[in-house]
Amino acid sequence: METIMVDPFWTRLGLIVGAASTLAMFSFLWKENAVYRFFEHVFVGLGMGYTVAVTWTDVLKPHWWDKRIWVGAADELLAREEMGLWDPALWRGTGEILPLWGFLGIVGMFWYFQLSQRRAWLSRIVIGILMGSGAGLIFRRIYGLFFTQDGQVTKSFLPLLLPADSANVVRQWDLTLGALTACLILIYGVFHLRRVRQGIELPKRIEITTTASLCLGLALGTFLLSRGLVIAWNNGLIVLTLICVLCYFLFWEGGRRNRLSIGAATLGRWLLMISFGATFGSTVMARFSLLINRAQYLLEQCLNLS
Amino acid sequence: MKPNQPRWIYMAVALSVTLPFLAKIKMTMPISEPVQKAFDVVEKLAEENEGRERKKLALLVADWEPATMAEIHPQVLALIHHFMSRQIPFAILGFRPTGPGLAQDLAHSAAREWNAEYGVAWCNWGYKTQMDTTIQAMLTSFHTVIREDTQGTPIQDLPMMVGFKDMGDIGLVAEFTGSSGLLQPWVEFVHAELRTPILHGCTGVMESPVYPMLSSGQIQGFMGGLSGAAQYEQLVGKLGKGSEGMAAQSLAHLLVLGLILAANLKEFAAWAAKGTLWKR
Repeated sequence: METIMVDPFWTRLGLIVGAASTLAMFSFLWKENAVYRFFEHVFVGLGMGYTVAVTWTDVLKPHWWDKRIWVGAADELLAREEMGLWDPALWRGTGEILPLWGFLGIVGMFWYFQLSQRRAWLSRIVIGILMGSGAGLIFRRIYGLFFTQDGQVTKSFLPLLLPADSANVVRQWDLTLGALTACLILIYGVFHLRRVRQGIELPKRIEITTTASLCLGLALGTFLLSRGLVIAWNNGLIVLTLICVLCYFLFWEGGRRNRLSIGAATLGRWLLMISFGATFGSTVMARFSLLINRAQYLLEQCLNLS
Repeated sequence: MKPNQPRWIYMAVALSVTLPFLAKIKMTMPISEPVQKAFDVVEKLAEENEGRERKKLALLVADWEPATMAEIHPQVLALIHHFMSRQIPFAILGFRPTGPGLAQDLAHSAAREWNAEYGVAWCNWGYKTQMDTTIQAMLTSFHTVIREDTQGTPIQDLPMMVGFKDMGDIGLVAEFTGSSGLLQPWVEFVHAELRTPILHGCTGVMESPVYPMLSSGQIQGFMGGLSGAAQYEQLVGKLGKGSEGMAAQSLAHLLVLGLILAANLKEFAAWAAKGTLWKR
């Protein structure tokens, strides 16, 4: 690729125009004004003009005009002339390239009938084709993104406990089941402890079972947690957020509600707010980045200050 | 001008953004996991290419526009420097009209530093329309979709493309965009079918929806916003506009936090003066 040497005059002019445009856009901070409005329209016009030009040079000209219409047709005619087959009637019968691709170009142009109120229905043909193909593709895309082996929904079902060597799937499940057992034993122990505290007399063997289950549950739980606490925290947070946010959308209003569902829904609402807050923080960062970029341009490139 | 007019705030923000540049402060950042993963993916491709006669390409998908170049450009430039330093050939392709042109400018500036030749170290396949169908067509018959570069040179005439058969010869797809919905086709069609690693660069606004894709393994690394660019610059060892910008970014954030705190304190003080502070 040839290196294009730009005349310093044009470089300087470019910098001046860039600086003027930047300052004109920032003049909106003072108040809405004609200069700002002018440069806003210039920006939109430039974007649209560039899009039209690059669509022609990069897409339509090389792939449609050069290959299918102009050169394609010329090559076809040349070949026929060499073979002594140049005959318009024959061309109509066998030369399929030009009419087919030309027809597609005409159909594509129907898009612009949107500008006519009477003939707008013609533009719907093109829009319908694009929407139909888009809808067909989107079904596959949604399934692939959410429900396949790597899908986001599939990957939301996470084990709450993971051993240090998390590649070992069998051990992960062993430990997850172990953790569930530990929880059940603990719940049993706590349930009976409450009854003892309430003064309800229980047989001796129940008391022994209660103490033993509490100790066993705590020991097993501590052992399992010590094997995979770090990863379990992240997975647990994801699963908790998933369930609570679902509860928020399902149980926040109406329907059957109890203290558990209301509590989960409230927590879900807070978790959503935290997530929106993080997104908003990123948005603020993005906006500042735009300002920083313009400051860099004005200070470094235009004024050569740093 | 009243002291509570927003123009004072604008002025303070302008100062907070410009002062770090005048003081030439460059900030180092702690490296986050997504950025480290992105760096590791490129390193892995470089290691795979070592000793291979026909190197696998990286595909740099330029889907950003001038409105988002403030955040995306430092990311892409850092990545291009990484490609060139590790001698990974890359091709530019875009589904937004302005993207390939903007990426080409960056590639030119980096190529001057690394003395990298067009056609050997990098090339530009230009702008294409209809992302989903084009990607699917590239998977089934690559050479009917990508025939020539933006200069009109047939791609098989470029030295880096000699022997290039199909999408399987692409070792990494790096998609950079400030818009939503442009990463998914690569994940769905290219990663799902060929397991090609996907790397993503996006604006700060777009970061949140990308995390689930990273944790589910649909993409292999990403850098978000100016902060992601600054971290990648550090990893590559070439501090640029991202690292410069982060000093200004941090000062501006501190200013915003200070303003939020001050406004809250002012409101609390007003409630306290009215005696309604504890009644709310």
